[in-house]
Amino acid sequence: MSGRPSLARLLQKALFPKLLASLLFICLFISSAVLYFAKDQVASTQRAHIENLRADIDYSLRDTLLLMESIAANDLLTNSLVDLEQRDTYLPLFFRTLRLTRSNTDSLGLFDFSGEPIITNYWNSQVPESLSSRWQKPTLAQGRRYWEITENGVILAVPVFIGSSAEGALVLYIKNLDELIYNRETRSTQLIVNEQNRVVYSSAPTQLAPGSIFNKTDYEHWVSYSKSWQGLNVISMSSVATAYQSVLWLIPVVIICIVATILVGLYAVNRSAAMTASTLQSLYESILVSMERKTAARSVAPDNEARELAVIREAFDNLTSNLMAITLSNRQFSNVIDSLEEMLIVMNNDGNIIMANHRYDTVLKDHKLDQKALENICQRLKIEQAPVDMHYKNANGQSLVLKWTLLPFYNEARDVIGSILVANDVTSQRKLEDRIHLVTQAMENATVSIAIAQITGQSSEIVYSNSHFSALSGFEKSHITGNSLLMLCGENTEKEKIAAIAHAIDTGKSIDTTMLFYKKNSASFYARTVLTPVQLKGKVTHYAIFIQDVTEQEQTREYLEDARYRAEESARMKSNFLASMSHEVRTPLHGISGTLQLLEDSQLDTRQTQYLNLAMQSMNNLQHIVDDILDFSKIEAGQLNIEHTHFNLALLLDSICEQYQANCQAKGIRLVMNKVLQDHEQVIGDPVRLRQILGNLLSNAVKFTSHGEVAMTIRLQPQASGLQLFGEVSDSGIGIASDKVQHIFEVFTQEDSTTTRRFGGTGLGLAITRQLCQLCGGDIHVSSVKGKGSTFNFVIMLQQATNHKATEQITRPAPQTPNELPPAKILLVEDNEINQLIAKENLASHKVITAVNGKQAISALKQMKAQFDLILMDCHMPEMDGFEATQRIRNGEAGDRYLNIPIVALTANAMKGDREICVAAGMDDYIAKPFTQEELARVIGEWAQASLSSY
Amino acid sequence: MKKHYLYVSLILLCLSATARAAQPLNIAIDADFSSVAVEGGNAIYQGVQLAVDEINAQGGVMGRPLAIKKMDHRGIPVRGITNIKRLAKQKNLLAVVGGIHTPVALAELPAIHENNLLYLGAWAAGTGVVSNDYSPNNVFRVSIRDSEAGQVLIQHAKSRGFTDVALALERTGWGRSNLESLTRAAEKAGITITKTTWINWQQQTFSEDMKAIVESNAQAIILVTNAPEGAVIVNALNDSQGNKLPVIAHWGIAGGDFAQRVGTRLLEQMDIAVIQTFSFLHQKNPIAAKLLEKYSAKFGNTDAAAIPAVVGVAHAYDLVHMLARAARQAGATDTDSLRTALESLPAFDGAVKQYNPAFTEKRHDALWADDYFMASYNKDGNLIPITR
Repeated sequence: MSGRPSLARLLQKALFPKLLASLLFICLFISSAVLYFAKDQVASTQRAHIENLRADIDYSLRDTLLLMESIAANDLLTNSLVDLEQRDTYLPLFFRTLRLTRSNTDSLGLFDFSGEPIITNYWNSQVPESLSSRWQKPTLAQGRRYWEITENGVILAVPVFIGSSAEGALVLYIKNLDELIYNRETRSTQLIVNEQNRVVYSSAPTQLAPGSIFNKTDYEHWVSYSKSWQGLNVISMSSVATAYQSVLWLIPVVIICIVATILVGLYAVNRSAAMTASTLQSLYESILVSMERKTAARSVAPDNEARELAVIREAFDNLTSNLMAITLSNRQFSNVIDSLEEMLIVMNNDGNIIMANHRYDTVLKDHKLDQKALENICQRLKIEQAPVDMHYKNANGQSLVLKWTLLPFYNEARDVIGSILVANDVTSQRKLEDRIHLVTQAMENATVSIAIAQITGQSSEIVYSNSHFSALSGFEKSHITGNSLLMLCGENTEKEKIAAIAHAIDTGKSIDTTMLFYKKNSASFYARTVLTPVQLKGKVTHYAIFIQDVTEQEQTREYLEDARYRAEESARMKSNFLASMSHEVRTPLHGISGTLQLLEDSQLDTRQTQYLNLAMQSMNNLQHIVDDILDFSKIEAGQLNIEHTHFNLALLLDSICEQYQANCQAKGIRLVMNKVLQDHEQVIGDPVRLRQILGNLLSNAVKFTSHGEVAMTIRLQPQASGLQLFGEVSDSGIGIASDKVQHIFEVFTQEDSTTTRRFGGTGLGLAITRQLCQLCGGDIHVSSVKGKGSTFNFVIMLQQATNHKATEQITRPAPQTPNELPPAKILLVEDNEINQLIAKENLASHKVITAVNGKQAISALKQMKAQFDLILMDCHMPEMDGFEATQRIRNGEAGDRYLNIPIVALTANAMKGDREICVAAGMDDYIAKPFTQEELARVIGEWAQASLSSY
Repeated sequence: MKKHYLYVSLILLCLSATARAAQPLNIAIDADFSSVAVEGGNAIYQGVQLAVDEINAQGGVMGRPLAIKKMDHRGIPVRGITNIKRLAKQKNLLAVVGGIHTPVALAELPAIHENNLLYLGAWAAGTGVVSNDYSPNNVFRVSIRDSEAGQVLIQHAKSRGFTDVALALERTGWGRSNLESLTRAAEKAGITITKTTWINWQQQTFSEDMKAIVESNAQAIILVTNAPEGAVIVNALNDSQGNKLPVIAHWGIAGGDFAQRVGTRLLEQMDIAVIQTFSFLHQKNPIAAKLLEKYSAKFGNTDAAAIPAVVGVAHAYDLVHMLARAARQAGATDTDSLRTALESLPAFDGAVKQYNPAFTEKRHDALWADDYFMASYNKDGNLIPITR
């Protein structure tokens, strides 16, 4: 690098010869231009010299001629032409006084009209013969002045007029022109030469004497200018040096200019080289940086950078950037080529490999795929005109299947300049194809109908069906493909199943159903239809459909179903029977109970009281049995609802404990309760059912324990799904035999029949308890040792209270009787007279109007002026039941004032949905018959008092 | 052949004889037709022409008509000499009628005599023109003779009572010829010449000389010049301090355009007397009357006083008739015969006067002092004889 010359040096080397040549040329040009213009100037100077000379001569001649003419006009001279005798006396004297030129020796003559001399001075001796008579004709005959300049001298003649005619002539001969004109004060030489080049006049007589021959060739290099004048040549000439003296000062100026130009050129070269070099240096540095970083770096703009250089530098930067990009893309391209799974071999028309990718190299290691082999492949591909599979085995026996494709290799002009061989490794693909073939064959030959439907949005269309499908349905494959499963549906195909299938497809679930399909010939058949979603990339795109003709099985199932339905129907009927029976039973029970309560309030003696107590106890037992049966019926009928309400668990447990404490004390056994509530006193759940579960277990425990103790442990455990209540009721009673334990929760089961006899009971209690536990999301287990005692463990699910406000249902101390409440106007709608009576008795302190059905109730509301505070509405009544009456009241049939009157339902069939039906009809609350005084007091207190206070 | 040659010769002979018989006899006029005395030249030509017309009307001379050949010498002696030399070569030349200029006539004398030409002087008054040294003398003159004119001019001055006169002369032979005769006449008449001044031909100013003349206390100026110089002098006189001296002039001024040059207004104011030999107002003879008649008929001028240079007409007319008489008398046309005949002519009635005879062998001048009279310019610029 250091051996190379610098940019400045190079520029100088390149520039200076041209610059010097240009300068030389310019100098030459300027010089020639100057010479050209100077030549003009010189020429004009010479011309001026000539003009001056000529003018001088002219002027002198004219002067002389004028002088001569004035002499000729002199009367003495004129007179002498006439006065021939005497003229010699005055003419010579007159002539002697004449002096026409500076010379003293001029020849002057006066001639008569015929040219004969009258008087002359120095004439014959000086005047050449040639000149002596030439003037005569113009002067004497034409009366003109005459002059002539010859090499021999100048002759001037003027006529002497007498009257208008020239009667004589005054003639002057001047030997040398010098005498006429003054010396020329010019640097150049003026000559007048005649036609024979004889010098007539010379301003430099020492150099070119007058009379000598002027040899033009001697003065070839002189700058001369000549003009012909009066048959003579007037020449002004000067040597080149003299002529161009005026432009000689240009030489130093030109030299200074050249030197200045060279210096400026040198400076400019160095300066521009420096500027260029700085840009180049910047580019060099940016290249170094680019190479180092492997990314395109922008060069730094040097100070005072020229626009062109900046443009170049920017272009170079862009080029670098592009090059980097191209390099990158080339590298990427190579990487892409090398990353290809396919072998890529590019061959020219001579069969030589131009390019091949990595894959080829790796394959070449194990297989013999040399150029020869490739050429063979090419040949084969050209013949077959289609991709060809070729099988290879390596040394280890691994097989390789390559699918060869031949593509022509074009250049930019679309000429084929070679071939591109592409080989796909299709080993696994071929294996896969074999496998697919196998699977397809298996599916095709399966003895179950298989179809695959493609799911596109809401619709599905069958894209594949096997032979069995056609055989089963009777449809051709071509007909099946593109259709949906609906093609098999007919008028009796179950709509809901079609919907279920549609839903399953919508939700991407699988479905297994049996439904009625129709063959092509309209013959129906039951088909077990299994739709299994096929997920591709996590999305259900297809369904595999399996259809099996299950007509026989279905018929069997239908038969069984029918049988089961009948069985269930009979069970349900039994349950309904029981329920209606319990209702029917309960109504008289209600009557008895009510009546007994009323009776208890009357004056009775001790014996009557004892009988009444017995009756009351029997009544309670009966009521308990009926309740159990009713509950069981409800459960059996699936009508038992589990509520989710806020309640105070601790308070509930305490009240249950209190309830059984008295029984225990009476039997002389202890009742122990442990509760671990973990600050969850308020919970959400069904307090009624919990009380029922605990009541059943405790009553059993108390019932079968004669000594020892009964322990109840309640533990709350928070779970993810809520609160888990673990309950345990253990006793030290008679226990249960191990072989009976597993049946203890079955219906109508007690340990043995003796138990029933010994302890009584319906045998429904534990069954109901288990059902309740299960309904409450838990279960119940028992462990018992015969004779030692039993332990019942149950679990139910509760929810954490959303707030701490619990319904005061339990905690609020209920008033003892309705009559303790402030009096209210109550409309009692009840068709049963006993119920009417009991209600009225219980509501003695209130103003009670009765109606036997809904119609009566509405008309009573409309007609009575008094404002009712509450309506107690029986549900099942003749003519208009309570639901309809409530709806009518709420619709305003009883007047606007009763639109919002509290209506409390009195219902006997406390079955599932009663409360919902009542609320839906517009009622505010309900109480189940037979209701107690407490219940009645509650609703009156809650509703009538609220209504009262609102007025 | 020979016969033919003879015929041809005879015919040629006859033709030449006829031609010779028909050839006119030439009379040359050598005068100034273009320079300073054109009027004089033309008047001479007119006189010759009228005479020739008459002679030719009468059958010419010796059966040959007369022809006129004009030669212009422009008043220049050398031209005159040249003219004479050329006329000398002229065949059938009877004579040369000379013009106004004495210097020309004087200069021509040698050539005239060398070539033996007959010179008839119609105007030039120089004494030496006739009184030359040549013998035989070929010059005959009907004109003033200066030596005679001097007497007349001096006598005129004397008659006007002038005792002191100044002379203004042209610097030529004519001027000098008059100086001599005037000096002699003045001496004889007892008149003093107070100043003699000279004027060159073509001279344009005369004020210095006029000043000298005035200072010389001359009572009159005797002027001997041609018309141009005469006009210069008269103008100078007019310009000079108002002293208008009378001018007594030789007739040179009457031979040119003097009246025009001076102007009639000035001419009327000036007292100019000019010597004359002829005027139709003066000569009342039948020849003169006939001449006037002929002149008027030919040239259309009816005013007898207004004929320019009338002396030239009369002199030339008389001379040509004399020449024709002489030729007839001699019966020959050669110079010698004619000269002899002229010297021996009988009395002759001319327009100017009755010549009785005109010439003799010794006397070649036909007019003498008695034939001269003085005239002055009228308001039209015409010369009117001064009646005494």
